[in-house]
This record gives sequence, C-alpha cells and structure tokens, in this order.
Amino acid sequence: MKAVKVIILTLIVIFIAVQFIPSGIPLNVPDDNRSIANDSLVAGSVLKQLRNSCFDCHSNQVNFPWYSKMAPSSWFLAGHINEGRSHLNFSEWEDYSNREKVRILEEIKDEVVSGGMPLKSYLLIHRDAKPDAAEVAAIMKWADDATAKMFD
Amino acid sequence: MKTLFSIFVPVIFIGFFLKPALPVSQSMQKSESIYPAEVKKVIDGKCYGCHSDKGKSQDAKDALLWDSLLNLPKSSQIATLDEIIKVLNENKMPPEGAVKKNPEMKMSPEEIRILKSWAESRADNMMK
Repeated sequence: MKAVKVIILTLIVIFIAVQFIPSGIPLNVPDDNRSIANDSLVAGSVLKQLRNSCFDCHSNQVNFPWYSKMAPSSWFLAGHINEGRSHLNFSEWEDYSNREKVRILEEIKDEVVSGGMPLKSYLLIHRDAKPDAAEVAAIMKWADDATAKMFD
Repeated sequence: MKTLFSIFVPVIFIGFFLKPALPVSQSMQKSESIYPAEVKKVIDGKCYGCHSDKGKSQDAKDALLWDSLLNLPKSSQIATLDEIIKVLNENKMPPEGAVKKNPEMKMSPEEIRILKSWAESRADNMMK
C-alpha cells in the first residue's frame, strides 16, 4: 500500500515538473491577411471544410484545445502543428509561388482521396473533421479548378 | 565428360565471384533520350537506383519514377518537379541513410545545381 502511495506521489511530482518544460507550441498569428481564406480561390463549404479539417495543423489560426496547455499532450500537439505548418501553411498561401501552389493542390488531392489526411490521431478527438464522400468529391473538384486557375 | 567438367567448374567458380554492375548507378533505358546528358548522368548516378521499377522502396517509387515522370499529366508533373526542387533545396535527397551506406551517392553542389536548374526550367516553362 505504501509502495502504491510512493508511486502515485512520484507520478504527481513528475507531472507537475514537466509542466515547466516549454512545449514549443507555436502561437497563432493575429495578422492573417495572406491566408487562403482571403483569396477568391476558395469560399463557401470548401473553405469551411478546410478550416474544420486542416487549419488546426496547417495554418496560423489554431483552435487550441484545453489539453494543449498541459504536458505531455502539448508536446505531441507542438510536433504536429510545427510539422504540419512546415509542409503547408494556409495562412501563408500568398507567399507560395503558383508552381508551389500546383504541388500543394496535388498533394491535397492525394492526401484527401487516400485518407492520409486528416491524421487518424486527429480524428480520434475531432470526429467531425473527417470529410464524407461528398465532401471529398467537393475538395477534389475545388483542387482541380484551383489548379487550372494557376495557369491563367 | 572429364573435359566438360574441367571447363564448367572453373567457369562457374569464376562466375560466382563476378558481380553485376553497381546497383547504385543503374542506368535509364526507356527515357534515355529525353533528359539532357548532364541531367541523365546525375539521375543515373544518384537517383535511379531507388526511383525506378527496380528500386526496393515502394515509397520512393510512389514519389517519383524517372522513366514515367515526363509522361505524367501537366499538373502532376509540375508537382513532382517542384517536389524535386524542394527536396534538393532541403538537402533531403539522396536520404541520409542511403548516403551513409554508399557515400558515393552523396550529391555534389554542382550535381544539385544541374538537377535543380533543369527541374526549375522545365516546371516554369510548363506553368506558362
């Protein structure tokens, strides 16, 4: 019984101690003028879908959940957000060249149609982020139309 | 019978120790003429071993097959060329593990420049 108390107490101390380790979670950037959300390229239901399924890891406008403020979950979130933004940051859409936008749009199609994105670990908590068949079709059509505009 | 034996045994024995050409520097065959010579030389020496039908890594083959790259639809081809430019800028290819195993696979700055400028020029022309 005493051993159990010692283990629990040790875990509590460790839990409190790790809260002082910086998580590395990037902050949201208030200035979002260069976002795809301000581009005429996307609007309506597709923009809503992108916000709902992608923006938490692929933009500077993250809806931080309560567990983002608590280690060790904050470490995992930091890793996902930093890696997500390094691959694609919708908030920096206007900074990409048209050539890069074509690549990104192709990657979006590949990921959405294969079910690679959103990540399964994200969907465990954000069940409504998974696009259904009609939403996948809408994203695919939008990506094709957006790609065609890159050549205008 | 004895003569046959004396011929075949040494041939088989020698053949056992002979190795085929280095797998690292396999050469493109089908697409030989569509890449400029200096680009083809870099691809053959540093990329083709993994990014061809004979490559062992499915991920590498899914990402890029040099033999079919130039037959891809326009947007897919531009996307792949831009990815090539991106990984070269980030020094991600050839992968660190492959270079550790075969140090001769490491790309020189000149080889990176050759491959990157070809990919940029082709992708930018296709964007017009």
